[in-house]
Amino acid sequence: MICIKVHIVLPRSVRTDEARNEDNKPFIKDVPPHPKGAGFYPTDLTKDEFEQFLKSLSPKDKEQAEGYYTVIRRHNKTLSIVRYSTEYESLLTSAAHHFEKAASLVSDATLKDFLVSRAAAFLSNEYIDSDVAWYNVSSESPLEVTAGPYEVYDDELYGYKAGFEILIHVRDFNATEQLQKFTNSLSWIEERLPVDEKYRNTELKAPVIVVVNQIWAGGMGRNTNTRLLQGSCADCSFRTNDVGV
Amino acid sequence: MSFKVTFCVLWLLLSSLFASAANRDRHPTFRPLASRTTKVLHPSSAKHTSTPKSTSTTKYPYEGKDSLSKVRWPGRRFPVPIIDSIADLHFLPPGITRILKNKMYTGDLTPQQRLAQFPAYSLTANTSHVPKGDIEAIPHLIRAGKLLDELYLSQWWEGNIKLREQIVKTGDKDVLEVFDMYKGPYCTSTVCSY
Repeated sequence: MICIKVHIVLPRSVRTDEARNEDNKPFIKDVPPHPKGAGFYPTDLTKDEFEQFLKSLSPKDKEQAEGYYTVIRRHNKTLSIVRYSTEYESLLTSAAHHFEKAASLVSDATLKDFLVSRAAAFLSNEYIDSDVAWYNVSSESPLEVTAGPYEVYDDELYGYKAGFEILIHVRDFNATEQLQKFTNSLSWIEERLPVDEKYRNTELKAPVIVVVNQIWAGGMGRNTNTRLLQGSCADCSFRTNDVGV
Repeated sequence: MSFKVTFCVLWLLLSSLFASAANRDRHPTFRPLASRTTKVLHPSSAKHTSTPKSTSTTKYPYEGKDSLSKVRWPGRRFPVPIIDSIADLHFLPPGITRILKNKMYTGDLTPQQRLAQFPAYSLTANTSHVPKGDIEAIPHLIRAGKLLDELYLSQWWEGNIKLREQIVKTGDKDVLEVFDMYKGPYCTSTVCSY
């Protein structure tokens, strides 16, 4: 039996008002307050300036400026739109390289498709095709990988820009099968709800419940809400020696 | 022996007093030692004081060379240690060197207390059903994960990469661990509210 060891850090404390007061408070001395636009916009950018900039753009460029996968930079006092594939070129090129290597090794063809198309997206900045490939990853695949720019919560200025995250999971088929009974019983429960028949959902689609062992949660994935449900792991560090990283 | 101990205690008391007098205005995190005692022993009852105010003209330490390890006190010839928490006094003999160092962290909790909120466990998972190829793919995926982690650091705050380098230079592993956990110097809502 091969075992993957995971070093996880579980939170001891519960949600408290005091903890909430710590929101975005620096714990290192002499660090400025966190800019609302995070690292997606120039720190000194004002809303007026950005809106003026948007007005000066063609409809196509405006769409890019407000898009998920670009950052706004200032060069010589003028604002410009820079695509993720250019701004983070060296990191994304290396990441794409590792994704292609992983794709050549994985057993499941649909996961292979996702990894290859996501690697291409890192370089082309076009993410839609690989998002579709992610939806089509088979439930039979022993690995589950979610990687790319997804959530826009870090852009508190406009909510346009997507932060990168990566989640690497090993599926636990036995535990998934055990939970299947809950999935199956959902329509049984619906039929017996103490409400009038017309309020019952007759076309109930059972959600897919998959149990996984999380071995990596990176980037914005540190904030994932699935952390506690999966028994890990926003703050975990993989014991990389175990797999020779 | 007794002379040394007396000297040490006197020196610590005097220097912390001087530090308070000299930095009361400049150092927004300063609070009298007495009011801090309960705060650290019972972090849950901590009252939050105003956060350090920064002005646009301030030069932040990460902008200068080696400035994180040496905080300079204007108008003083020697750097004066600041006793910021009772935790510094709990382990006095080995702690003396720690007190002598100027700390780079701030806030109601020390990095050690922040880390202590997250006890570590080791879990294993049965991966006997996973084909060999998939196991071999995991290290490549993790390498990509580390690169995306680095990418995210600069997405979250533009000063992150430079600040991380500075922390690595100071060799403070606890601060570095908290930094990596938070992905920056900011305690974000999701991490902090758990």
